[in-house]
Amino acid sequence: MNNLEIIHDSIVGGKMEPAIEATRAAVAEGINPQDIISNSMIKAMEEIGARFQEGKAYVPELLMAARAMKGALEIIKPLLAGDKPATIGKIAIGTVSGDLHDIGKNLVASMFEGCGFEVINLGVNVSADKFVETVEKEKVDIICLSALLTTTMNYMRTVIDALKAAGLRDKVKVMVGGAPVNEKFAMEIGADAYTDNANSAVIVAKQLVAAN
Amino acid sequence: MKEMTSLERCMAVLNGQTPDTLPVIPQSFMFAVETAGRKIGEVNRCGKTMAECHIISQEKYGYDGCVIDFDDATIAEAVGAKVIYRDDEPAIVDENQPVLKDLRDVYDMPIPDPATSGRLNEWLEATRYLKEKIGDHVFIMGRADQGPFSIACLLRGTTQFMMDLLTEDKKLIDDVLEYCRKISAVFAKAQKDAGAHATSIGDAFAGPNLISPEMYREFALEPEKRLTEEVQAYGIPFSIHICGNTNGIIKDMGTTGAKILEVDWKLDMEEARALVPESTVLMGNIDPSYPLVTGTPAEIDEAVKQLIQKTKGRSHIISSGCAMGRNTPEENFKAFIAAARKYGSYEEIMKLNKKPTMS
Repeated sequence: MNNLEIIHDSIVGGKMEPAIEATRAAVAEGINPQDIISNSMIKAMEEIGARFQEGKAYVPELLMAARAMKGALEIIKPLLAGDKPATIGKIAIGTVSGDLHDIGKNLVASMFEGCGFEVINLGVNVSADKFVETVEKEKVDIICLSALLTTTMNYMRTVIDALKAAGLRDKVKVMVGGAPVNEKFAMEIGADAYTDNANSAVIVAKQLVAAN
Repeated sequence: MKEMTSLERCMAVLNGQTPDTLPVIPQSFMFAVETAGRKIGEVNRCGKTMAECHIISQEKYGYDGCVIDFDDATIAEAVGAKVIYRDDEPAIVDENQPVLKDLRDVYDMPIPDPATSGRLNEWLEATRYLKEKIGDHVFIMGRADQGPFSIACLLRGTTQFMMDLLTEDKKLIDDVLEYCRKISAVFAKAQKDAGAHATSIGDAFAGPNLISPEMYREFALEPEKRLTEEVQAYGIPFSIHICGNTNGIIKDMGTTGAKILEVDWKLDMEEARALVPESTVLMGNIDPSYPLVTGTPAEIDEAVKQLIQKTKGRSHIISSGCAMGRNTPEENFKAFIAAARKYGSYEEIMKLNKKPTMS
């Protein structure tokens, strides 16, 4: 197995140390850092994401894979021009105002990151103003809204309305998710997409960015 | 059939009999607080006020049982977890400041005293007050907050504990879960002493939305089983609630011996009814978001009808799949109860269970 394959398999298997070691070796071999990211790391995260969606991997496995990926990425980062890997798009993600649940949201954020997006994680209890400000200043392609309560999910509508009021609604795609949310609700409040797991969130985000 | 009281109805189901109509025990603490014109932040440190909210709501809507619940943070708080209180939503554990900075810290953790630790006594006071005021005719389910696996997540930080499962020594994980099982048992047994007709725990983090069915069997099932044995041996029916999708573990949940399993809307109830013992009561499972909050009364009527067709009313308590939002519209909640009465009557259940005759 060559180093790129070892990196890939170590990330899928959630093994950080071997992933880091093989990344160092690949760099020493003279492999282009961006190629390591594109050919090994992102592919590995896509694979674990697909396994997650198929019910072959669960949250612990996904977290371990993301950890291994981040460990390996730390080796690569200093070698990249501008310290940043090439991204396929920029996403801001947050749990909406009134809601403090963040496990699912963080999982989705690390899948985005692992699959090649630049991610701004706004945390929990995020106000509509904060989302609007982020869209304005950071020029993100997508904002992702999360909620775990039937009460707080209504705040997603508030965020979308605030984007409209600020004249930004057509500048950004809006994705929503969380236990009480469904497709019908997402369409009613004027979101662009609803997804019910971390992997389909990545797939849909890629489609939204590509359609732009 | 002669009309039963709410309590008789619930006891009939627990005893394996067909009641006059299937009992409704909604997971309604947030809704009850709203109905009483209160905010959760005003009542979650006072068991008597919480009980009064339940009484107002139960009397207004005429459902059959009250589930004592304040939030998911109470048992963790009682052993030292930092908790974030808010006015409008239930308190939650601050998982960024975990109690178990190292899993080995578990060997120094305290066993809570139900009378004095944190707000445990407020939950028990709610049970005592409800039992005294309406417990002669209404079923009082004294929830004992979280189950072993969920407590471990809250004390360690869920994300970290998920990774611990794959990296740490199995014996150490089991010791952590055994500690969590012990403190869960202390609280559950105190609910019996407070007069509850049944008691329950929520072990949501052990479900397939987070961990695999294999991991559930490896880590969460045994503690749940031993907890159930201990609490039921103490003389009170025990109930386990796992929300989200439990299709892959419902059969295992049935092996815990828990008298009641509180299940969420993603579970196929027909399949579940076939996979758990006949004597195990299934409590559920209308989606608390759609239709209960965002649907119409007609959609709720249809959902309840289909639900009862799936279980044929066998050992079934009608409930929401998980905690109902405080913003559930009044007409929707009324439609929920009315549908349960309409499709869950003794006559309807008899019809559903009538064997096809040869002609």
